[in-house]
Amino acid sequence: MPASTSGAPSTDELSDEPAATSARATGRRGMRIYTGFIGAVAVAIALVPVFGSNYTKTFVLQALMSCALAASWNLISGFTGYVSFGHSAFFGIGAYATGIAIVRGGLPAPLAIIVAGISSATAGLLFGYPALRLRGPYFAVGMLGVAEAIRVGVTVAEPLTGGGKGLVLVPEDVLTVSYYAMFAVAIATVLVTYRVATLPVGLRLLAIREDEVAAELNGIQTTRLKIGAFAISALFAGLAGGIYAWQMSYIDPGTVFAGSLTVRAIAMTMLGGQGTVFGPVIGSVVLSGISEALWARFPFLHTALSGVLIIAIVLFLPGGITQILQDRGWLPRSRRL
Amino acid sequence: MTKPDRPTDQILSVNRLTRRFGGVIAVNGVSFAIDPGTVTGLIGPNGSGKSTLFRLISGEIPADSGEIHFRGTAITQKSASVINRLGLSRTFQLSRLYPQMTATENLVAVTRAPEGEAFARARDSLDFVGLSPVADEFAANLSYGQQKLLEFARVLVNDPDVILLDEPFAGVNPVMEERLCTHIHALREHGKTFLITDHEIKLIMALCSRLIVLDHGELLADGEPAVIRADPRVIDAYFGT
Amino acid sequence: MVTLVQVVVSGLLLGGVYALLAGGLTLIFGVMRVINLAHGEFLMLGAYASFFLFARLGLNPILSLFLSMPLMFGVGWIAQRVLISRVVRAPLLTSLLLAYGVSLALTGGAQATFTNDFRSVPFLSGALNIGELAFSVPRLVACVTALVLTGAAQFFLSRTRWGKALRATAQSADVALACGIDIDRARMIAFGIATALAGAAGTLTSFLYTVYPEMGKTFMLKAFAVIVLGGMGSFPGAFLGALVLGVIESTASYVTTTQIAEAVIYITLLAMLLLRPQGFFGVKEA
Repeated sequence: MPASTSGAPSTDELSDEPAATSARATGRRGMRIYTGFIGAVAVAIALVPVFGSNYTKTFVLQALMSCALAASWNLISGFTGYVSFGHSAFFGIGAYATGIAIVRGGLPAPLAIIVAGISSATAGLLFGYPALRLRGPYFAVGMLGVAEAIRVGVTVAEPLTGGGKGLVLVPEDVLTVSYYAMFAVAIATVLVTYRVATLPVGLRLLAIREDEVAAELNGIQTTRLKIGAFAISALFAGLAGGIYAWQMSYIDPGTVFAGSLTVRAIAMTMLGGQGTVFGPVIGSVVLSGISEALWARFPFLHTALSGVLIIAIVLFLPGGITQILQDRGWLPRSRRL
Repeated sequence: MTKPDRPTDQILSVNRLTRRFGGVIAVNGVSFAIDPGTVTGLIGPNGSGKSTLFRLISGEIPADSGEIHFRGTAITQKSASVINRLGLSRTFQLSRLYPQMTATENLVAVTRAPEGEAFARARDSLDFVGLSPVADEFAANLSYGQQKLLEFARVLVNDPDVILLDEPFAGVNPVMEERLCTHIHALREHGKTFLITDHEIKLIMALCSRLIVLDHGELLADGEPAVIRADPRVIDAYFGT
Repeated sequence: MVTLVQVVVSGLLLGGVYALLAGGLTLIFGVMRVINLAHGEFLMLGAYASFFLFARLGLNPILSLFLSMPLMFGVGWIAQRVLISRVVRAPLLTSLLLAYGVSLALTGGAQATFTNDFRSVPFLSGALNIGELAFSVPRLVACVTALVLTGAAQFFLSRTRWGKALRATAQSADVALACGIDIDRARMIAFGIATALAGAAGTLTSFLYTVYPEMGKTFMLKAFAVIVLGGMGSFPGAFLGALVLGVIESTASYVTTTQIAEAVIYITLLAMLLLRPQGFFGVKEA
């Protein structure tokens, strides 16, 4: 029973209980506002094709794609701490898998996109098995090397991929359908992240990030978990790539393997909060909005500002927006977020 | 010195284990075997190889030569993760908790209970060591003593058969010491086996039924505390020139 | 036979420049345990410096080194002081992402300031004929300059007081501190030297290849491949690794296209990472 023995100011006369309870209440209310906000955004996104112009649809589609890329990057890099600088590799593999399936294989689009997912997930398993044995920086740069090597490989395999000139798919006006497809992929990625985060397996992934050696010594099967996360991350990136290819009707190595895709994914995830469920979502909403606003005025500042943003977050706010909200007590410290 | 003549009866046995680091022989041909349900102490002056021995047994580092058997199975070349899953777990001198995860999460991450039970199992473990009030605190924010208790809870969460405790009493106040000893005794009654290393000689002598003494990587003495206490070689190792 | 020798020598000449770049990278890693992902961008800055000094002042690249190297040293010093020092004791992940951010900021800054147009420095051309072999003059000059600078750096590290201080800090920062070495200053010197070397490498590449804002990325990967080959933190290892990589690239370019040659380099990098991550001279961390 905390009795105020000293002449403490009035706030100390309250015992611990009510203060903690009110903090929790603020947190819970904050969580309701937060999830409400995200829900509202989701509804708005769902309604855009009904009320919005083609320009808006294209813009939001791009944002959804970025969200899927960010969320899938987060699954491996945010949770396990294995930062990959070659995430675009899987997007590109998905894009080309779909392109080749449609153009050379004559498959219908939905099937071609499934092929994209399977291809990129397989690539994730294939590359993940050796790559994830590498420690931090070796893995990061190694994946960059993988992305570059695949880009060159695709450029060289002209008969199959159309080489540097790119691959032209059958142009169809599928803006609305692909919009909802990308929406579905983004939602699926976030849902999977939510499941992972709230189950013990999510904590095991985080344990790898906190202290992998200790995790091993505690009996956590780190290799299996890392590769699994990597493959799922690749899967969603690949699906996004497949839908992109279908919608754009044209892909080339420079665009689908672009470093800027990885940069966006990383910047968005870090801005929102890596290792969280909605961090990538918040990050992609905010950054898409900002870059749209800036694009007209300062086209070349994109990369530079992303860089400055990442520097600022690393130095001052490693947990991103989620951390700000949690530190101020507006959001509870919950893994559900 | 005890010779392991029937390894399968003894839950943990180590046979001529050796490990070098560059030119230094950290552990040199050490052999001993431990009976189930006992509390054995591993002591020796600084640099005698106690930590290295722990690391070898838990699979953190590989041995250069020799064998380790756990419940009759050879675990010498097995990885740390596998050894832990077989039922041998270990605490760390400098606690290696997951700093940005709460006390509960530190346990849930490690537990191998089915999904639905994981959180309940974690809460029970926290209850057992008396850490329930700080269940939702980040491990990094816990006091030193609380961290030690959490480390202790973590090593137990999967019901291991053999538990290696690396300096569990370092920097711990007498009340906490008492608590830990009580827990260890209670667990021993349940059939668990302990191998403990610490510098609190008096405490170890009171707690353990058997002491193994290392010096410069070699087994110096092995027997009951009373015998060891009087052994001139042991006294020499600790206080000699 | 002649062609083979030609290709190998050409590769060795190339390797000289890589050694200059990789030497700095490995120095930073050795002294600070930081992988400087922005290293390629410092090369790019050096290349632009060379271009502008040539275009505006008519200064030839080798002479411009006397201006650009001190400048780059200063840039590195400041970078360490303001940014890198904050993450020296942090987990690798943090320093990795920070360096990544810096590299983006520099690339983007260059794009905004210089535009994406390709530039080049038409300094030297032609070939030197010795017997049946022909050596590209620009490559020869670049390699010789690179060797001189690398040699100077190696001399600094092994013979001077501060050089030894750097090496001591690389071995163990805590012990160095206990011995009275100003490790903060040592780190700034190390980063300054490394950046100056990278800038110099940039100056040399300015008259060998085209100059554009994103040129840093490819060179960074090659430098990384070099230090993986030679062993992280080993300056002599970087030198040998660079020569090996130069020869590999040259041979691959000769046998196939330049693009495939690049892929060969990445594959070599990946293979080394998987098979022998500590390189030929690095120490395997237990």
